[in-house]
Amino acid sequence: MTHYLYALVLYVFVGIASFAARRDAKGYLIGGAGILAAILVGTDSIPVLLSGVAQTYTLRLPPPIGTAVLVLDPLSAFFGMVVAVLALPAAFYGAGYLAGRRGDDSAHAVAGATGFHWFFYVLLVVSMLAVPLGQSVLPFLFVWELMTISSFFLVIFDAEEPATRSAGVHYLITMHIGMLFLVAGFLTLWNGSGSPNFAAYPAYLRNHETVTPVVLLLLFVGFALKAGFIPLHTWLPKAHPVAPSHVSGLMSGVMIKLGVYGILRLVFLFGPFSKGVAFLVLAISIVTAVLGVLFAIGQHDLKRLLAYHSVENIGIIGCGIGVGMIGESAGMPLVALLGFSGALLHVLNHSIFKSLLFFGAGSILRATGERLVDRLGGLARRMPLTAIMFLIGSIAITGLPPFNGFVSEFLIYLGVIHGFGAAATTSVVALAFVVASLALVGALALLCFTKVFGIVFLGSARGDATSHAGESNPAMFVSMGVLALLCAGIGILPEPLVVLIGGAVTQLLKAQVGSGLATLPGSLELNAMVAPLATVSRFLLFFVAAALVTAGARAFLVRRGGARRAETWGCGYAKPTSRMQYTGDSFARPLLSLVNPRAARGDEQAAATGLFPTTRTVSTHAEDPFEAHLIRPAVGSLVGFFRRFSWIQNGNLQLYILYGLLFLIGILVWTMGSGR
Amino acid sequence: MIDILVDAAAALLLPWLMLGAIAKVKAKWAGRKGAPVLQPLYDALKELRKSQVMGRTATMLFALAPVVSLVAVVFAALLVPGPTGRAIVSFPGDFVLFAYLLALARFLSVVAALDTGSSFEGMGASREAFFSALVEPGLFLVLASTLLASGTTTLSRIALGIHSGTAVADVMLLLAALGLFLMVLVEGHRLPVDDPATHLELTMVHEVMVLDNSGPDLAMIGYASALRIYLFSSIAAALAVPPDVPPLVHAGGVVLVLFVFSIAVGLLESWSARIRLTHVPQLLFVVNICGMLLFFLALLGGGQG
Repeated sequence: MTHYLYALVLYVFVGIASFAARRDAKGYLIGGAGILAAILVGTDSIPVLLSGVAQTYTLRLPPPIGTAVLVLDPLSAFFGMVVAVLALPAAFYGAGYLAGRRGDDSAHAVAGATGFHWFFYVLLVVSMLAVPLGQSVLPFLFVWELMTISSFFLVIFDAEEPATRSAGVHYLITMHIGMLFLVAGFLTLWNGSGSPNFAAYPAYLRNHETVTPVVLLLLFVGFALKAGFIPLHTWLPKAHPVAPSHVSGLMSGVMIKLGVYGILRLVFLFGPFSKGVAFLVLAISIVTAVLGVLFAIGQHDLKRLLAYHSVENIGIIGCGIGVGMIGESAGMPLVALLGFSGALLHVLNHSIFKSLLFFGAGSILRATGERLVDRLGGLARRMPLTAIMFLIGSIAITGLPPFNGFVSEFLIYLGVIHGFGAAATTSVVALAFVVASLALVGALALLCFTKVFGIVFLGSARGDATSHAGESNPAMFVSMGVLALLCAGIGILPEPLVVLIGGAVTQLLKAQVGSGLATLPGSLELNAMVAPLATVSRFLLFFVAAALVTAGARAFLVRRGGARRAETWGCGYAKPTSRMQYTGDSFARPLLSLVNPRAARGDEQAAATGLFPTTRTVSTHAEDPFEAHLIRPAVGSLVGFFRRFSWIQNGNLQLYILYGLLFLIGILVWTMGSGR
Repeated sequence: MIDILVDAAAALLLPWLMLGAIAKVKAKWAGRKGAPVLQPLYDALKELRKSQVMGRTATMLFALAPVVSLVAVVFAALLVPGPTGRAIVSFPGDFVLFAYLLALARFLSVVAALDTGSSFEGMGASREAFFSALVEPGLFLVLASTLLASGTTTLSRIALGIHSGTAVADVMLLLAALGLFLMVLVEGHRLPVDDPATHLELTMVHEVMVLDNSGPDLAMIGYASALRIYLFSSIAAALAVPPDVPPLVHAGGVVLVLFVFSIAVGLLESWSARIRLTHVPQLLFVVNICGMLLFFLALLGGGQG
């Protein structure tokens, strides 16, 4: 495991060294070091994934941390690889995104300074690499907290905007509430079992059945908050839009997956769980996926929309985990293998295409200065490469072949179909819910991304924002291009990766103490997972070839028949303008009015009145109902309650000195009293 | 080998015959003689030779979308059982690839419609995406339920559950046929969901999306649309015809079911107008209901599940 740790040390060293580099070169330096670090991480992780043998390393640290037990097992290796690989495009994209940015003299100089920004970036990557290693309480919590703090500084990079500052503070507070749950859960376990190492906890929980639900719930809530399950997701659409785009891509692509890592660690450490727990996980995941995509459809802000899609995809990953858990509880190794493999593959796939989409959004923002979808349009002619890559990302996130989103969803569907043979009727019904929900989510994602891609890139410009747009600079579109190639590559040739992941899942199921599976997944099950994918892969290769041939045939026919350009058919209107085009709001309106009839009534206020109507202004905003009806009232009443005690803090220095004096007198009295 | 050729020939010819049959039924009901049955094919061949006009706002995506959509639908046809009773390609979970290839075709056609920068196409695109979102869960449930009832994992063997002789098998067949018939109406863009005959934006979903396409693109779009009708009817035929009959009888049965579907669509188009746009979701939800009922019937003892 030493190479992995060397990678961490390398990153820290380069992070500090980057202060000395020129402002525009810092990102490239960190990216270059990242390539080396990824190779180091790979040399340790890939053998672990292949063999399933976990590597342990004991670190002797000064008290109070004491000895830190670091373990690299297949789950850690997988997530470590995801972090190491996805940090690379983000660094290079960030270098391009921040290029030419002037120095920051404002009051928020620390946050806005590029040097500190890259230092915290390195710190975030290091903490994300270290999280999967931690198998004892204090090092794990320490690195988790480091992840929160470094990402906070990254999020408030544009700190001169008040929206950024408030979103950043909201994010920090929410992450610490999650930390509270994690600390409560872990400390209960540590206190009860007497050992800070995770390895001792399964046995402890088996002996203390009453504590188990509480502890597991606390830990699950803590990790689910980080991952972004509903109703703990409200920080995601606030923090991700205001962060610079490479940070959004990294956070949305990688950081929230560490919440999923935590949940998977719970499943593999304390599992296998009963059917009821699996149904609970499925219920939360389905609600997350469906509501995530519904909220996304109502958004007009490009990055907020993408943040809600992250919530949706976390729901899909959760569905995969739920299907795997049902497979375990039903004693069907193939279903367990398929469910967990689909979830893990979707973790990787989502990281790739979500980063790609956020980078595309960043390119758009940098080129036009506009984040609202309805003010853009026709960008494909000004930024063709970005348009192609954003299209690839959109098709991938909708889960359509021939890109990678399809493969992971296919694995989950396959798990469901094989799970139909389960003996318990309730399990089969739950699996039917999964099928229907995934189908619904996919179709809604299609609606949302056709809207986004069509309104932003196609048609004609809806305003002036796009008039000066140009193609992204090379660092940006090379990073996007690499991600797009990965999408296509994993989509068309998924077998090696799936075999790797399948092997890892098998090892993890084997390592579960007291496995509920009578037989573990063996080569038969692995083959049942990979063989359909092999057929799909060949099928899609033929599909791509056939598409190319048919495009050539079409080009021949068009050249023979003749082609010319003319004005788009406008049904005879005399003066068509670009503002007559469909906007994002109009595209989504039929679905939104079906889902939320109250929102449609707002149009009546905008209707033209009188014989000679003048200019009217309409503004629509989509608010997160959980935040509006759940979080804000709760926080409001809490703040109101504490405001009653605000008289204690009245700013009077003499009174504060009096408080200190009273405290000292009290301590003296108490010590002397108890001493006697 | 012969099977593959028969299935391929069927997929090339039968969609046009179905379109022609629908038009003939409508004409006969209206007291007219009607166009020849193969007229849609003649129209497509004519369009292949014509010149093409593209809008000034359109990008290369507009040119490529009909091509890739057509190839996607054709490859989806490889997964569906044809008159021979078996699909050309089948593997566990192939119904997922089938549905998602059709979704890819839909994605590209919707995006190409938005490429024209016209509000008409935007309207059609929005409605198309919306309607398909409503029926997708139902389609998946219908297909998954037939798989559950048959105890199998591929589309080529879905008939096993319906024809196992249990009491609820007939009801299951009816529900599946109803669900798939509504899918034909939605995906094939027929009345009462969408009017293929007018060019008024009030009634259009598909026709307005392709308003700006011309020449070879229009031929490809026409064939893709016909193929969609053929595919869903084929799945229904695969369910309706018992699996253990001789091949010629099986092929004849499939063609009969396709014929019945064509007549049904034709009659429905003669009797009804496009229902109010706000009522279309209610009609489409019937597909979801069929799926749910079919699932519970399959669960509670239909077939070998």
